[in-house]
Amino acid sequence: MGFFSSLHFLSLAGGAVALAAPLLILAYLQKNPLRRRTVSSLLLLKLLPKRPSLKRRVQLPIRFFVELLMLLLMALAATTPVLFDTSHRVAILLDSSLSMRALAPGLSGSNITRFQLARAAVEKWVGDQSALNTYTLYISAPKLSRVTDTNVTAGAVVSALSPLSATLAPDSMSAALEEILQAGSFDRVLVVSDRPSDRAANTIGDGNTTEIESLQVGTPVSNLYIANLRIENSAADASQSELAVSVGFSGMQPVDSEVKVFRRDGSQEQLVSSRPIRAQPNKILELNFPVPRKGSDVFYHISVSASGDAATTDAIVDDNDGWVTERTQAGKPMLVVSESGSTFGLEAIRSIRVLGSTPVEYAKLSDEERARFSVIIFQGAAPRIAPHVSSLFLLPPSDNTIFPIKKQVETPNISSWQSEHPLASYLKVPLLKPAAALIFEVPPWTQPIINVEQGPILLAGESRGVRFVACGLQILPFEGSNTPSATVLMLNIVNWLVGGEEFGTSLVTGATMRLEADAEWSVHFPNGSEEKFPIPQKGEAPTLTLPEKGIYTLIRSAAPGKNAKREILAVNPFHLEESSTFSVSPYSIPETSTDLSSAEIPQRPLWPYVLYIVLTIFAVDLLFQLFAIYDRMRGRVSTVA
Amino acid sequence: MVEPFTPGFFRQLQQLKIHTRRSFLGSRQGIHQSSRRGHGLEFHDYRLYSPGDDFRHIDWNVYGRTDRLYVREFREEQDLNVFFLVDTSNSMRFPIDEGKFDLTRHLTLALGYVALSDGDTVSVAFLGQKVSPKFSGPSALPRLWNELRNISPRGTFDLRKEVRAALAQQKYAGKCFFISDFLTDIESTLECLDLVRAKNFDLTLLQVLSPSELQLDPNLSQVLVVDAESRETLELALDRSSRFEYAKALANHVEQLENYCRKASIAHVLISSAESVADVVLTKLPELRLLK
Repeated sequence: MGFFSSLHFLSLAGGAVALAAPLLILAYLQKNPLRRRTVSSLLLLKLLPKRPSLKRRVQLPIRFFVELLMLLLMALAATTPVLFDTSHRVAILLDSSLSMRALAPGLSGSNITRFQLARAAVEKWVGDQSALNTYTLYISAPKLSRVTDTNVTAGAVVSALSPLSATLAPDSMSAALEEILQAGSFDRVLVVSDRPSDRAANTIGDGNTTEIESLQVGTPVSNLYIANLRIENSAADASQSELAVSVGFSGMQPVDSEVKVFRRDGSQEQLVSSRPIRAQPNKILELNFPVPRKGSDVFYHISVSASGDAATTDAIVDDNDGWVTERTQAGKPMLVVSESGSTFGLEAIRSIRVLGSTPVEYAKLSDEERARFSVIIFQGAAPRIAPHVSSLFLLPPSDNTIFPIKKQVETPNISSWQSEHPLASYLKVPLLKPAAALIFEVPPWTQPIINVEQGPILLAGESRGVRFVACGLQILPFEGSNTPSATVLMLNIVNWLVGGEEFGTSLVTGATMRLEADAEWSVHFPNGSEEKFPIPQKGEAPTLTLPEKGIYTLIRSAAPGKNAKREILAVNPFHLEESSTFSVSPYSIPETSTDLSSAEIPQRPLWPYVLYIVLTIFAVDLLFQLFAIYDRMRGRVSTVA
Repeated sequence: MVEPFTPGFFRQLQQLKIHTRRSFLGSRQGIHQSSRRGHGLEFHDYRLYSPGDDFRHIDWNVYGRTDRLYVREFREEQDLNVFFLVDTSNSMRFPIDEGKFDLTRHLTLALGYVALSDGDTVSVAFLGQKVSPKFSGPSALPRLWNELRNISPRGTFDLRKEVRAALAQQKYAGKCFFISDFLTDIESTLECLDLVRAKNFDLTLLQVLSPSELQLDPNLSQVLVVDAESRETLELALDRSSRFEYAKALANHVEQLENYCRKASIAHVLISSAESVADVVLTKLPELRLLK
């Protein structure tokens, strides 16, 4: 199979020589026409066997097949076959996000998941490729990760596939693909996902042409899911909270479902409320459940399930459950830290109080004082240690240690963005058109939201229950409708930062968070396992990845100047794009601004060998004619044309 | 004259004499012993004197010994009627360029010259066309050649009818050379031979066949053969086995002819048109004692 995938024909039109084959047949039929001879008498000739009928006459001699073979070989040589003598370095990007856990009807009627389909598709694709190719297998969630060593064989890829499974995390196929392409070390990239690509294109990676091939697996299936959970303060009763549940349904027909709320206090879980609902296709249903305020150790488990026969059409069950913990929040102001101490017009944002501060003044604040703010915006400034408050780092200094900067670029071109992230909501990203931007390195606990060709200019991440955003383009002062794109981006950032802080601690699966480096941590996962994080040697904060859904318990041991602490985190598989299994949105293949250049592919011409074979057959044919070997090979009259 | 009829060849032909198995009554005195007893030069026998016999022939020596009158009887030496039956049907033209009729013509001329130089009478019946006048004496050779040269095989005819008609013009029996390829059905051929025998001719069959009739052309495989006279066609696929079958059929046909000839005391000579007339007349026929 590898030979045939390397075989190419440079001039297929040359194969038209083969059209002479029917002429050869005609020539042979004509070649042995009846020779007309007048004889003195038929007296004796009538005693001889008669010529076979036309039907039997059409039996071509061996020599015909020899000449036909020569003709076909010459036609083959005329197509100038060449072997592209190259092995391809292939990157395989396998979508391992939550949507790949959706069930896909199998051929035999049994349900397998999209990820299982994807694995089988990769295995088949690899089997159809040249044996000279090498492969590197990546998965896309919770973040782009390499599964195999680089440039391994097909067999190694197939072996590496079997233990893999889809995660509960979302992914960004566009960003992952771009990162692979930026590496520039692959000739081809195979993307296997349940999402189609928006187009097929060749693109440039470090000056080489990279071919991208997309394989889409799975078919539209219905899915009932929880889109969001939050606890809000009850406006009517200070002793009550409102549990806000957003239920979504991706499908064709409405489905009857039931939402149940359980409260878990310690080891006991108790049903607090239940409500039947009718989920509508492609609509989010908002439900509120009043719950008493109990304290931060109490969390709620919300479950949604389809009723009756509709239960069988729920493609993903992992997104039917959610957890949320309670944290009492009061209306907190926002702090803007800058050299000027200005608030940059942010006070115009309704319902948020904004205070301004200089870095010197900020440095004097204690942790408790800083915690009184819902969000801290650092404009052109950055502390040495990130606060334990959701923060925006806007054009941070180049020497900051929280969001290291790669470089600054002028008039960058935006190449990709995570359209599904809340920071990009309602935002026409291409209209941002910054005059200049800072390109960030990507800390492992963050994800790029908006990228230019040189790298990300907007990062977002969560760490220890607080959210951080790094923005490399100037979006202040806040000018409202005068700068619509910057305004929408700033509002999205504030809402996202404020939402993570105010309405209960809830993280999503696949998120990463940094743990404080000056203490030992013990993390208890929802599945009961435990992982310990000792104090790192070099002082770099350990990173915790949250792959599972459920309740995580983080226990920090006592450290000099700090008490031991225990935190409960609720981690949920709430990813709107991933749960929308009935209508998937395409992922973008990164644009390129450079003209395509075709690399010289070494090729080995095969046509001389074909011609040698033709000449050899011709010589043999000549010898056979000279020594009348064809005549000796002829049988009786009835078998000879 | 044409090759091989060179002066030397003619001198050789003059040495030859047509041999017959029996005596024939000629039209005039010649060199052949005829069955007529007469007054020739060759003593034949005694017989009792009858009144009216020429008394000069009385052998007085015998009278002295026997007291009886006997006359000497001399054999009448008369000319031989050499009659050629030449097949001039269209079949003798084919195969083209194999010289079947050319050899026929030359054989007729050569044998005719042998007969003419012996003082015999020569006539040629060109079957299907005409009968030549009688020729006698060597000086008739050019006229004989002229007749032969102006004849070309053509047409088709009833062989028996033509032979019968030709024989009807012959007053005297004699030596008959029947020259043809004899590739007709054996029955009608034998009937023709019977007609000639019935006329008391000393018959010799000269069967002239071309090399490709004696042995099928090995280069032929698929062929449409056309009968030169009837225009009947036949599609053939020739290979080794079919050539073998043909050889058998030819041998069988010739053998039937030979068997009849043997029984009927007819000489049969199979000649290939590839042979030269000189070889046939100077060597082959003398070896067969048809010429001496």
